[in-house]
Amino acid sequence: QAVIMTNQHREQEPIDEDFEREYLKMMTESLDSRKFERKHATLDVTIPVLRAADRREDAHLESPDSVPFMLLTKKGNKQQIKTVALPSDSSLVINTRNQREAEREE
Amino acid sequence: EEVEDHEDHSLALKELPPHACKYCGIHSPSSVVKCETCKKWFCNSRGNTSGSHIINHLVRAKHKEVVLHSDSPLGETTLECYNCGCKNVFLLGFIPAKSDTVVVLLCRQPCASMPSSKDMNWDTSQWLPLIDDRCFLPWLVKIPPEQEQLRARQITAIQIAKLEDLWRENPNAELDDLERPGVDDEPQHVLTRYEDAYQYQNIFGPLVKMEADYDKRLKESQSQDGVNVTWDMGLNQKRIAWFPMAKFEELRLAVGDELRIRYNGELRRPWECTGHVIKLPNNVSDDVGMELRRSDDTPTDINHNFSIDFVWKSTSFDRMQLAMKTFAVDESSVSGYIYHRLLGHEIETQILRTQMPKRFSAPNLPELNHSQVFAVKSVLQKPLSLIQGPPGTGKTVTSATIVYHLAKMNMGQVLVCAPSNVAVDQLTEKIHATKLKVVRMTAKSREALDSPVKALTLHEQVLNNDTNPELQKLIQLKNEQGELSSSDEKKYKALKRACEREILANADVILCTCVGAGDPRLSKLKFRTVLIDEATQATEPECMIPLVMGVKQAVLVGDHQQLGPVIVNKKASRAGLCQSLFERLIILGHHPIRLQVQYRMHPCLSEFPSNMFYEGSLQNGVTTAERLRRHVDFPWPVSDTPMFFYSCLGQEEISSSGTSYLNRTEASNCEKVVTKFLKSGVQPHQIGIITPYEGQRSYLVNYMGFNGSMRKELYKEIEVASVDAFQGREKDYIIVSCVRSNEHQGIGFLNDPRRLNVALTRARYGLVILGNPKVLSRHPLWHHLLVHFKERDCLVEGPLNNLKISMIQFSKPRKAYN
Ligand SMILES: [Zn+2]
Ligand SMILES: [Zn+2]
Ligand SMILES: [Zn+2]
Repeated sequence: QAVIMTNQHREQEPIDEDFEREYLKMMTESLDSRKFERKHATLDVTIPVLRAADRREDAHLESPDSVPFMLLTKKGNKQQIKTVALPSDSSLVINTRNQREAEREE
Repeated sequence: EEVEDHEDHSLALKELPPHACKYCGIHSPSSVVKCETCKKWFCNSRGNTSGSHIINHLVRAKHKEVVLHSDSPLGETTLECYNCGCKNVFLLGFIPAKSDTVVVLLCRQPCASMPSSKDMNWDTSQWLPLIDDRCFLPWLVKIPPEQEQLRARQITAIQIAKLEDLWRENPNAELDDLERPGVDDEPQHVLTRYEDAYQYQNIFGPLVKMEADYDKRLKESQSQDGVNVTWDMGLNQKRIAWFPMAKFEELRLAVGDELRIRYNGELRRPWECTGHVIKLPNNVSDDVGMELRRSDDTPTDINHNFSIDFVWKSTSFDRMQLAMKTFAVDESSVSGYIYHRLLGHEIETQILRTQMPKRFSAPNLPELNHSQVFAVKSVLQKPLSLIQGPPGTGKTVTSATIVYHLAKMNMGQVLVCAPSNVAVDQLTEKIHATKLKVVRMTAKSREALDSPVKALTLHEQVLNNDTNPELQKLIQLKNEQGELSSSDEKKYKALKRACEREILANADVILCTCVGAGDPRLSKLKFRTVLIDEATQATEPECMIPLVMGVKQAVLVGDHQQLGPVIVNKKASRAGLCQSLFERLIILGHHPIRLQVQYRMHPCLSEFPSNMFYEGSLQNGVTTAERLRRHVDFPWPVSDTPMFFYSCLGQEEISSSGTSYLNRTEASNCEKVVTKFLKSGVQPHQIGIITPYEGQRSYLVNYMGFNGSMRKELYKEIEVASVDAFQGREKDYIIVSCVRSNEHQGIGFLNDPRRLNVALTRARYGLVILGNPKVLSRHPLWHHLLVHFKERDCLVEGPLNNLKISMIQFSKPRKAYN
């Protein structure tokens, strides 16, 4: 039988204030650097028509605690579709589910 | 049975694949990502730290782009905004489609902040950041299972910080290298006494090198891309580029610093040019001005997408090292007496047999008071003296008077230095007034700058010389054509050098910065008499540069109760590089002569600093009546006591640059105080606003411009700057905005007693401090200050037109102030 190791013996280090400060700085600095960005004033992302086969392939990702989602990415200028398993408690999953139910009721 | 953990562990470490986490060694492809900037791999586990390893790395190294592993579920994928291609992971997040199980990665600004319209397929309001709780979303980059984490190398936050530091010097370093001797050693601390000048050099040399290396790294890493440039032409027909530089505070950019401007965009072939800073951001413009070295081929038709780099120069550090070497190897560099004194050896005090002047005040300078006369008298008889000049005590006049007498009494020229150009210029002006022949020598990169003593500078004196017609002709030719033929250029240079030599040889006094004293143009000269002003703001090695030019009589002027030298490397600072020679001489038992009569502040303003920083010894050379402006209708809580502490309880915030702080409540109250002053007839140039944070400076300038009820221009003329920038200067009215107001963190810069002293002693007629008494009173020194204001009924709150005495309870001060 295996020895079960737990996380308990690990000591939580005191909060690294330097890191926290730098992290905050990185976040705000990043956002600030884009304040005046107007280059792509339009959001132009079309949702590709998904073939049934795409969906079937990913059926195996379906599990009690995750839901397969399509992730749109780009390689160069080519659109690519990849599958990710989103945890069922993710806000993305919950919202999408709610949205659908709302539509169905309409 | 027990798992043989140790063996497995060490075995695994030996054969780690290239994509193993550089911190902990975890290497399952779905748990690691590659940093695109440094090509190192990191995992998404936290280990013992508050952020995951990859986030730790990105934050500490300031890297922002990552790629997923080719064997991860998504394959080799660069994380980027689908819409605009932005790769900064700190900006990325997912949004879902409205009616399908599809997500896409978008940047928060601007792509995901466009309002989602009804007919749009995407719901931007659901934007979910890629980094959550300092970790990548676990469904994108797996968090390695517990078991794997526990078998990985256990790395602490401290080790991570050290490793990141090490990578800056050596990108291939490994964690094991941290244990190697030498890597993490603290440098040897400075001493009070030194055996000899070799030991002195052996201790200071490495500290200067550390500071230089750090400065170089810091400045060279601060490249800015995507800079917008406005083109201009200077009076000297040189190209000037104007551009905003958000990072200039971190860079401690100074006029004369060299920059490189590059264009790598699509509108033309790549171009670059070096030049130097001629103007820094101020309240009128946030732009840096850079004069280009070449004027041809400048892409003046393009305004966007330039990059700016800092071109680091080792000159000043080289000169310090050279001075220390000279001190060690050249016996004639300083007199025997000064040699032993500087090293802290016991030696009998020497008195110089000098013919005392009949009159101690110098021509065209103000009459001296008793403590100033005493200072002049004792300096003239001693080979080494220290003068302490508290704020407003006439340090510059005293120095100028001393230089006048030294020049008149001694054989040979006097060298006068200070660490800053401003101080050197002030002294130049005063000494020039005594009718001595002075030459102000500036660095080449500052020659084009306008200065109050322009006519006295070496290069202007060369331009205006009338003893050499041939040189004059060539100068004129150069002005007209911009360039000379190479034979003419050679002739011009030789003649110019000869002319410089002649002007320098004929001067009574030569003035330059401490670093400037190492200029090759002075290398053949010897100075037996040297005065260094602002000596408490120079590092020891900096002070050595003017001293090792043959000094037999040295005068150091300064105030160790005001700000000391700026050291950027914490390690070097801790090791004592931040201690000035002036301070060490005091520790060695050398008593400074203190100037004791202050002519600047209303007596109520000098009381606290005098008691707190000068043993109550400051006397007032001005009366209350002389410092009251009856016609200025300002709501001082106690009439005749033009000061108050204005309690502002608003929270501090991180500024938009992310590197600094601001405080809106204080800014708003500050504007009201300023407006009231302006309405009472105070001129903008008579007001100074001191705030320790660049974030607040820039916020305040904008805020006053937008919200002030008076003309915008009036607010623009008001100087808003850091404590450090106000050192050595004064204003009629000073407003201090403390900014820091938080429950748990510190008060940053404000904790330094010397900085507080400087802030409190700039005002002549009135002082308003804006701050949070509750927070500030936790610090012993501020506690004293608050009690001082409270006891005088000058701690107030409420609207400016109806100030009420504040009843706020102070916090208990934490540690005793010493
Ligand atoms: Zn990196
Ligand atoms: Zn790791
Ligand atoms: Zn985008």
